[in-house]
Amino acid sequence: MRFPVEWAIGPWTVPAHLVFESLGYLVGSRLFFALRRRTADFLGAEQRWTLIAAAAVGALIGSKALVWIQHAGSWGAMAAHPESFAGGKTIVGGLLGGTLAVEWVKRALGVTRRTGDLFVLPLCAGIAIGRVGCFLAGLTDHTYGLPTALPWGVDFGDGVARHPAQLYEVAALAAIALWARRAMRSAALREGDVYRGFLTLYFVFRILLEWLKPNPVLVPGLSGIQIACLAGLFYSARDARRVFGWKESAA
Amino acid sequence: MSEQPEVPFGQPVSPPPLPPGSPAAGGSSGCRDAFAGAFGFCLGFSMGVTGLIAGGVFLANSNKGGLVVGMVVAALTAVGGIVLAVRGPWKPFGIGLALGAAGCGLLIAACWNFSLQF
Repeated sequence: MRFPVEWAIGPWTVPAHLVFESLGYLVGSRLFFALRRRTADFLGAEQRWTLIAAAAVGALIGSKALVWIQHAGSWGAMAAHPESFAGGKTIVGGLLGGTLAVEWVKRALGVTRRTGDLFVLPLCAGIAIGRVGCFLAGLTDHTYGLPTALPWGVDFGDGVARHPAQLYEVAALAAIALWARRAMRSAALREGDVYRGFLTLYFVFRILLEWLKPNPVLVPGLSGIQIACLAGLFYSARDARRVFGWKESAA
Repeated sequence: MSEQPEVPFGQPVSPPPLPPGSPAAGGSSGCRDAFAGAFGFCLGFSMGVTGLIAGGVFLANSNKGGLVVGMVVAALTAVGGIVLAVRGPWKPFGIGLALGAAGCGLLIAACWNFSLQF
């Protein structure tokens, strides 16, 4: 396989990354509406659509903002090429931005109940499909891992076997989705717990995964994405004892 | 106990009056909302694409410049759409505008290979 994977369609060359990312959005949104039909959504259509729009806008802004923080050490060099500020986006920033935007809009609309549970499985599916695109983009996407001698190391075209960090994330998301499916049937959990559990598991995983990636370090030992994940954990892990059943097992 | 008023035997039962503002009471409010949302979505997406083309052709004369302008226009339009959806009178239009512009912005970002030349 040659990276980056691209497909020739007529006169155009279409990068696999764009195809898989678009597919991720499509599958995620289809799954969301299928789940919404199956479960009794307590929000009206207009309120739910407003929250979806807020999540999308927050994700767009958050995913860009965290890239700038991640590369804060390079701002001087980037200033010589201002267009480079528009490059890249991160899922962690998208999740945080989307969550913050939804919280703000909920307050403005007077919605007090938690609304995130319906998003969990679509997010798992959409992110996993998008990550396959990141893997197929190879070195250009900057989501690969550090060099490794492990047998499953992947040569993305520069002769160096690296951790396929994107595929590790796909596997982690599959595990999180399985947990979420089980958790959604649990009577012990409250509204919004599954979404918070998803965020907690994902942020913890990303903190670990980022150490396998050649990331710029913002403070000793931590990249900007890891710091953002830690900040996110303050929000998501408040009810971790209940969400993951620690309280019940300890009692 | 029934919540319907009692009707004398033999008289046709008429449906209860619809509350003002409900979709059916307004004639085709549901259709109007759907149209406003779809129109907003197309407009929001088109704003991003227009920014992309205008930036690429007229301002920066490069693909990357177009992506930058397209993304900035999409982000500003998306925020405007959310403000309209939350505070403004045109909620469905604002929702569509925000979704279209945000979708366009996310797809523009997907077109970008993050390659810093230094």
